[in-house]
Amino acid sequence: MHPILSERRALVAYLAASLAASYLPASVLASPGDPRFVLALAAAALPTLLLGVGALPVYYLCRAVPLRSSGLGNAFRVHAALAAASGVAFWGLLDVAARLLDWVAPTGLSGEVERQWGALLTLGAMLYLAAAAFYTFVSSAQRARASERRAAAASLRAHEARLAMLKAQVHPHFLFNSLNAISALTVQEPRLARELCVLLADFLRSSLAMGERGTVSLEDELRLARAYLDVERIRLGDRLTVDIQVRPPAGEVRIPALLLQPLIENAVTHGVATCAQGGTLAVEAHTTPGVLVVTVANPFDPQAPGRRGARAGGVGLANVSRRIAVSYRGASLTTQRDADRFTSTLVLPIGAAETRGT
Amino acid sequence: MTEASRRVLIADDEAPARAVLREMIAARPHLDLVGEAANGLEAVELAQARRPDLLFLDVQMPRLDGFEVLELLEPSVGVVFTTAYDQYALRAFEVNAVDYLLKPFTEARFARALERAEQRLGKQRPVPASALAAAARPAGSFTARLVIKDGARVELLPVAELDYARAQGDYVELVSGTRSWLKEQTLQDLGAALDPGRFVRVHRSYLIQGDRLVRIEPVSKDSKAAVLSTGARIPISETGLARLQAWLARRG
Repeated sequence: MHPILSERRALVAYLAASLAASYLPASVLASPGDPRFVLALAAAALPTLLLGVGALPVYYLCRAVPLRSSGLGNAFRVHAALAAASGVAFWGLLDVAARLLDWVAPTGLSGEVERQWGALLTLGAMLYLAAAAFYTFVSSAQRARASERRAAAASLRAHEARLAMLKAQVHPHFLFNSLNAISALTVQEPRLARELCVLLADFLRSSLAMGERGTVSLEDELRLARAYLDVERIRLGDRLTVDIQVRPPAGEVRIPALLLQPLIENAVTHGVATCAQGGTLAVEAHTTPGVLVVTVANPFDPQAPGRRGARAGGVGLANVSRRIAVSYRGASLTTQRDADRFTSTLVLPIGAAETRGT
Repeated sequence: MTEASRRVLIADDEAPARAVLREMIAARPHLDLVGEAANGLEAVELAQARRPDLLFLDVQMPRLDGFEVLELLEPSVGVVFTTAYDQYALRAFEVNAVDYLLKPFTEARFARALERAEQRLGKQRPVPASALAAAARPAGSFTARLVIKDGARVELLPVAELDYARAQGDYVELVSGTRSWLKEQTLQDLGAALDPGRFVRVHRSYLIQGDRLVRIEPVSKDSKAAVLSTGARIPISETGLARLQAWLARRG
């Protein structure tokens, strides 16, 4: 936004200051004690005001050609040319105004304008440069404010994504169903009940620990996924089979903690668990130069009762998308829905995960 | 006092969850476990074949969810819902005074649910099944399919395939192309389950899928009919015409 044109009071003050600046050319033409000084002021008023108005658009130029070390020569040349042009125009306008005055009442002002051409030309150029300096300062201050705002917004987004992740860590449905399974097994299969308690504790412990870490290796992330799937296997029985394939060195790549977990949980809750016959949840990870690719594939029942299924699954996917958007450049999450098979593919640049724990 | 013997059915897709119920049922001699279903469809089939008095019904199951099963059950079957966590379902249960068990549950909580179900046996359900299902849906979401019992078979009709529905006494006739089914439901309840952005009640007894409309034709001096893309002619009432015009205007 133009600092002067956008506010009426600023514009009035600016025009008044431009008029007041006619004191400078007038004092070049006649000393303030000289009776001709008033005439000189009258001759200088309009050209100075015009120069002031003509300098208003310089703001847009200063915004478009910021003073950066890379484009310094360029900015210098542009401003030097415009300063020279302003000097010449200023002098020309003063000359016309003085001649007009001389024509009304011969005072010899026009001769003075011709004699002082050097000083007046310099004065015009200086006035231009003053305007350019002011606008450069304003537009760089505006840029700094805008980038501060952007940074604040980005950190807010990162914060929100992290909160969503923490909230998504343990689904109440999963937790309560697991407790119910334990309560069932305590009587019929006490050993299995104890094992389930331990598996559930393992899962909760590592998911809490991982929530505090910024990045983890893919192998750590998959260890958590296995703990989760072990619990689900006891609940769902032989309906759930798991196939995890990691081709070295994919396991060592560092990724944001708990990034994969929502995809795994979706694959169970909205995938395998919806199939009456069950199916296989397949995870595959490999690297190509500079990139880690992880796919999670699962069968689903296209006719599953969808009281709120599709939308609930979408929340997890949206969270993953947001997290990679704030912690990576060039990462992507794509999903593919075939007749009865759902595949999510995560592509992450290696070594690009930020460690600020988003 | 000896309790009357009751036939009981369990429907839950998780084996451990079925095991808890089995164990608690086995501890009560007057309860006779007549079957266990691992998904919604099986629950409907078993309920038909074994005629239980009581059904312990999980909400989230493959094939059909608990609410869809309820729609297809004889009203004489007493139902106790079971769920681990489902905020929408729980709200619907509380509002409609439906019996439910929160998993995991204690022996005492199970006994209380049993008692309350016993008191309700042979009485009308507090709310129609479809109204309960509607209450359990998140606000602003609508059913994606209709469940219909066709003899012993269960039909799933995606709402996109429904052309129109007609009230027939205690039933609605659902029409899709050349096929039609009768379902025990009021047109009012059916309308509540469907997206008002797609379906319009054009008459006290008729509801049509809006985008099937081809034109509106005068039938006599003061009555009109909607002609659908399938060729069906549906009577339009005066208020129905106003609703249809409002719907067309909304759609632009």
